[in-house]
Amino acid sequence: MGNRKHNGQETIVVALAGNPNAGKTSIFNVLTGTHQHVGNYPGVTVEKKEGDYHYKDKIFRVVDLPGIYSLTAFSIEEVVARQFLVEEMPDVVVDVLDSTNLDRNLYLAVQMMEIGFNPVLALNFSDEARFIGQVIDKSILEARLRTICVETIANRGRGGEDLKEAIYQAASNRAAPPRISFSEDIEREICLLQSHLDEAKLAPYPVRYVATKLLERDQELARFVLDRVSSPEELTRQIEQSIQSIETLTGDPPSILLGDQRHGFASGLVREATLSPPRYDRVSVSDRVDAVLTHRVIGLPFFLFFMYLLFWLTFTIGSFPMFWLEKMFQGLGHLIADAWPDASGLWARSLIVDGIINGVGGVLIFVPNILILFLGIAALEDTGYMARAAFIMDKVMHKIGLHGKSFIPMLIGFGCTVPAIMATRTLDNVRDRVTTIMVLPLISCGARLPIYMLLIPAFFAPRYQPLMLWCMYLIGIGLAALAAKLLRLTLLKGENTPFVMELPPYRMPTFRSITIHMWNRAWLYVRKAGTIILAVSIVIWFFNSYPKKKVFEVDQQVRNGVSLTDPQIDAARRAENLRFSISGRTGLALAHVTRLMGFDWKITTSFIGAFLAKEVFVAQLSIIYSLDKVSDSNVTIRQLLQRQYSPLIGFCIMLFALIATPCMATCACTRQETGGWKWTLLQFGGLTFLGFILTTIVYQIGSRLPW
Amino acid sequence: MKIGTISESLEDYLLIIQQLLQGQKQARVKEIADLKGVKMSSVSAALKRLSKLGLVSYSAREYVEMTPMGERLVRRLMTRFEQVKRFLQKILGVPDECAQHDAHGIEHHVSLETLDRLAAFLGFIENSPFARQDVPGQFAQYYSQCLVNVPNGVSAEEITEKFRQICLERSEESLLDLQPGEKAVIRKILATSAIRQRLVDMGILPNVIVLMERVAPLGDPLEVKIKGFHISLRKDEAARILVRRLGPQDN
Repeated sequence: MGNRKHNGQETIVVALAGNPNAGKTSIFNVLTGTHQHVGNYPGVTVEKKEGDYHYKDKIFRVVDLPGIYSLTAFSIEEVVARQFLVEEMPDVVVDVLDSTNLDRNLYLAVQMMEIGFNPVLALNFSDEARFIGQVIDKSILEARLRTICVETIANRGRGGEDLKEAIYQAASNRAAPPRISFSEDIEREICLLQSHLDEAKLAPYPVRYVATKLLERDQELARFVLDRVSSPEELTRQIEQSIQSIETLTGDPPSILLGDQRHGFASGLVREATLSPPRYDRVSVSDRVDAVLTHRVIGLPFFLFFMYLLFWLTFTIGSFPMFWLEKMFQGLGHLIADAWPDASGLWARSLIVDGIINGVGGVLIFVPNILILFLGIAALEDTGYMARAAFIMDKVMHKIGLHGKSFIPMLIGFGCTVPAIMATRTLDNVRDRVTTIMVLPLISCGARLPIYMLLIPAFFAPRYQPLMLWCMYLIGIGLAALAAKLLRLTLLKGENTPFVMELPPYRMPTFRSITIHMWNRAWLYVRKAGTIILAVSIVIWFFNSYPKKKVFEVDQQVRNGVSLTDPQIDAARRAENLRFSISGRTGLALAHVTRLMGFDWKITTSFIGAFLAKEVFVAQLSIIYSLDKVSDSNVTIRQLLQRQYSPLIGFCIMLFALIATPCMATCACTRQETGGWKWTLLQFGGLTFLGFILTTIVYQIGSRLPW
Repeated sequence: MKIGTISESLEDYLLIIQQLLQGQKQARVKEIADLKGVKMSSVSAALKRLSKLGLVSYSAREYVEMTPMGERLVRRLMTRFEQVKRFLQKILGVPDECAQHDAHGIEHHVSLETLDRLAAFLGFIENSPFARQDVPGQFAQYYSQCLVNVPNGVSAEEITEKFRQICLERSEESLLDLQPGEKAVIRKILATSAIRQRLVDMGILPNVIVLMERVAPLGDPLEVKIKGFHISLRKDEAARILVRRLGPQDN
């Protein structure tokens, strides 16, 4: 509160609030430009966006609150927003309103006023409001609410300067908000409750506000208050009495009445300030588009088409830069290897080339795909189509206990689990979010493709190959659905979130806003996944390399007269090293258990490497079978596999790869998004255990069948 | 031949013969006598009369067959009986055996005029606009109230009032009943607090006008328009929002 100083300049904290789809993000971008960063509110997985800008002689720090319809603490976003307002006490609050729906949008402003804030009103989408015939006299609004109104068209970048000026003014002249009065019956009970509350102990909440909220059965505030009152039982009794009294008198509980009256206040205000009312009956362009895209019959094909387009773009177009990056990293590795000064310190060279470049590079090559995928998703979200996707898919999602919005992360999961997990932020309900995150690794991500592409042609005749691939995908989807349903029935039991969701009008986003949107997510992927993967790469490299074997069998063979080329000797030495190393020994040890699944130590050791990233499985297997890098590895290894293992084992490998041990990046992301280790370990352990059980069953039964 | 031209007793015989003819080509006089509980001579006399009317062919003294004309008459008789029975069962909720037995009785003791109207009333309840209001169902509820309250001396007015309350809560239309393109005004929201709060926050309150837009391609959820914005709701959420349809005259 008061004068915050930053580098000698006064910093004004501005909170940005508003309904989802009111254009808050655009306003944020207009104010802060690229000076923004994304984080989390402490302890919860609610995105916190902050940014700043300079205006006149001051610095303004803008905090973008989550999009909310109300401050009644039923969703975590509302709780977070309210807590921020009350505890952090921003100097200015800006309420971004969708001018085409002023009544409903002002509902939030009314609640902020009850807490004691007097928001600056940004009348956004003012062009659309004018288009439907609405003309508002801003001065009336400003007079009634004792605040400043600014018309903005944020998605076109207009109104930013006026808004900055308004914020500047509001920071210096803080007028108290008008008092919101309710009906007689309610006011009476509020009075009664207030008499039981001690003003001093409730700071920073105003007493009247607390009393009102208690009537509405606000859980958060009830907890807060009951802790600080001298006789909680008496208060609880009074609350119940008051609520009962109102219900008996009016037939409705206070929460409905208060909501009604707040809406009434907002509409009355709007009506007073309206010079020309909006014509809602006109069929807008957006309605026309919806008539096609959510049409009973052709809506679904259109939807499937868009999804297909998204994937095609991500994987086909993304494959080019991915290929280049791969080459680049390989080249980098060779460059360093060749340029290494002397034969000493070879361990360091190995660490850098085999460990770090291979490990981290293996993940960074996905960045182009991720960027494209996120760009596509940002486009779909910013135009408003994602809401339709959730709308169309809800029936299916509901059947497995999830929300329509869970569909999108699952879709993304076909590409890579990491951005998929991050996409679950759009889900309102924590239970939905966690359930979705837990089952996402079951959806065959892009990294498993190399494994499938290696094993399927090795063991199955060409005419069965596409079928087998399909099979793996379907098994993944099926298991994900089952697991979700199971989780919702047991660990994550709870009321189904209401699906009440707004379908915003279609809007044309600017390229700039989509890019910012995309970059916010992509950067997190690069940074978080990158740092953890770097660390684990080093560890796995270590496990793969040490202890080092001194005497090699292959050398003995050469001495005995077996003729081998140098690369072959090299490869053989590498294979022996791997067997001698920690990874190898662990593989040998675990093989006693994995034998149940039909795996030998070689497969097991390869899976240890696969924890880093699934693609590594193939690389590890190649090393173990002592293939030198010169020959065409894929063909030779297929022949080797055919000789060593049966198709059943091949299938079991794929099954286990599908279900078990989510890759490290996934684990890191899960930890970040669920805010702790509990769910991460459960996910890892649960999936590995499930994979083990299912694969064992399949192997044991399969090996007993006649074919 | 019109219903009512022959005596009730003869009608009965026809029905019995028809019953016996299920599964065999001829009915035996003895069987008829047994079923009706009369002497064979009475049966013979009746059969002679029926034969003269052209409704049966009775020549062999032991066996009887139905003529086409007789079959047509029987069909008409059966319909009437069926209708009375259905009225008792479906509208009044009388148990099956009772209905079967009473339908016979009513058939014989009540005039044709009454029977016709009874049958017509059945058709009226089943086919008219009333069909949507489930009159028999509501009557069943009302009756169960009577069963409970009349022994306790509760008056008919009070029972009716109680029943009206039940009706108001259950039989009002909800958002689900609206077809795409129809407008309605919200009357009451019956929902758990979480859902209700969300609805209120979105502006879905009593006295608000809502327009039903469409149903999602897979059948669920629905999309409605309120003032200037669109909201999607699952069907089970929509079922809890009671509305009053707006006709073209309301605006």
